[in-house]
Amino acid sequence: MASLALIVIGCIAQVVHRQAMITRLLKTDADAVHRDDSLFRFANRQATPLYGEFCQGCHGADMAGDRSRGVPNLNDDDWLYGSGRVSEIERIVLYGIRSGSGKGWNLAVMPAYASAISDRRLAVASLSPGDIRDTVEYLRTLEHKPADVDAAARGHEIFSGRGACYDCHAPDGRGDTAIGAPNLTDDIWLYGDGSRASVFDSIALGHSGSCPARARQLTAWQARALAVYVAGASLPKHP
Amino acid sequence: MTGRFSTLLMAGSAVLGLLVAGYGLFTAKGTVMHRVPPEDAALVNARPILMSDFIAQAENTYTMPFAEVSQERRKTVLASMIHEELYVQRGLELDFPGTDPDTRNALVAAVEQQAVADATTEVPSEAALQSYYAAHQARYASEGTMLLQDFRLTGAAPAADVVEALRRSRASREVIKRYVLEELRPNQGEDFYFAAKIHLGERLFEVARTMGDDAVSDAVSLADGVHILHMIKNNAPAPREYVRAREQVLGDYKRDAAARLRAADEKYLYGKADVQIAAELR
Repeated sequence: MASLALIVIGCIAQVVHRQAMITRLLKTDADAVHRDDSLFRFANRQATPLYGEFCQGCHGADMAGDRSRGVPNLNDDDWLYGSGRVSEIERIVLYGIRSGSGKGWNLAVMPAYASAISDRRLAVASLSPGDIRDTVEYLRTLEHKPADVDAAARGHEIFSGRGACYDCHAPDGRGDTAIGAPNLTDDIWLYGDGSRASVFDSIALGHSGSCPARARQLTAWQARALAVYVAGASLPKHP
Repeated sequence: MTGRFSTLLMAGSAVLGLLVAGYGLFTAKGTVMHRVPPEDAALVNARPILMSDFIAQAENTYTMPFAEVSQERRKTVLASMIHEELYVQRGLELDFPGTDPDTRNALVAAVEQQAVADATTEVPSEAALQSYYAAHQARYASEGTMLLQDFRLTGAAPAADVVEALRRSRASREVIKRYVLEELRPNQGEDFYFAAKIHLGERLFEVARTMGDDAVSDAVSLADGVHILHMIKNNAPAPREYVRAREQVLGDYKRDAAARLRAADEKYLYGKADVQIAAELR
């Protein structure tokens, strides 16, 4: 009888403790969770199965992503959207990227330049195969790779002019994490291997990768835990 | 005596109950909660303002991490969100969805979005995508390219003679000059098929599409004159393997799934609705 009572008390204590940790997780500043060791461990423990259920299908069990599918690596410190803060990741977990949610990140797409661009909101012109090849040469110079200098000069004109690449990727090609425009100077590729053919394809065919919104499937604390888990995996300074 | 007392007690209780109900009805504030759940920043008539939305709003407003947003600014942001929630609730009370076109449009868009949410969030298996790719393989080809010259006859020579001369000389400068051919869009360089179609027009493009490298077409009469094409290089669209086409396949797969869901949703709504149409409009 006494042991049964102990088990019941133990269970109740565990539920109460868990609830207290959940409340703490939600009440603590999202970006400061990793500084609270016990909270950080709790979040990671809770998030591991959630990651397996909701994220692993695309980002992989090792979080390394898949460049053949434009799925970002979550282990490195290169962030396409935001700067890797928990609150930013939490927002992506909840509302996604080009997910159809009004609260998601839906500000820009990479146009397919080898097509008749009819969307008037995109102030860009279609490009010819030669234009794209020139632009690829220019992008190679940004990464200090061998390139055809004359073609690169023409490509620079396109990048800064009628291609309007600068508008998203910034005039210096360093991208803009507010809209998910990748940095083109760092040799980290979201799609393909950075070869001429692969970059040509990216410009010609465009990209608009997406991440589903999970606001309807996850509770607030689960989304927070998942965000802590992802942020923690990418930052070596975290425990 | 006891019976009268019981009746009086019952009547008194009924009156008291009615008074409480009346008070509640005419001073209603909705369900009152005395504690804000930890995931919320505030409750407005029991409707939550999510903490994550509040944080995002504060960060977007002041373009800085939430931790750096001062208490005063946080309060300003929260006040504006509470203001918004109150006005949304008031808008519902005033039946804006029934009368205001902008509200109605927003609602329609939101419900349509909701209807396809499953398709948007679904992560299809590779097998499903590959089978979709196999079923629609024609869609997944590279954009063809062509490099050509488009000549318009301006001289008096018969078109057949000009074509023959061009074929024999492989469109030499000398022949072009001799027959006074006007080259349209000279030095244009290589074009994607879609662009060539725009530049040439449907009819000339259909001729060009089937030409081999270094071929000269027959004369084609159009409204603006007689055209002869010299194809320098024609790279026809080539099928793209699944790995390279995957992103497009995924997009098309989801679009198709969304269209199916939208149709099913519409059917469901029509099915459960009582729609009466005026006799003259049936």
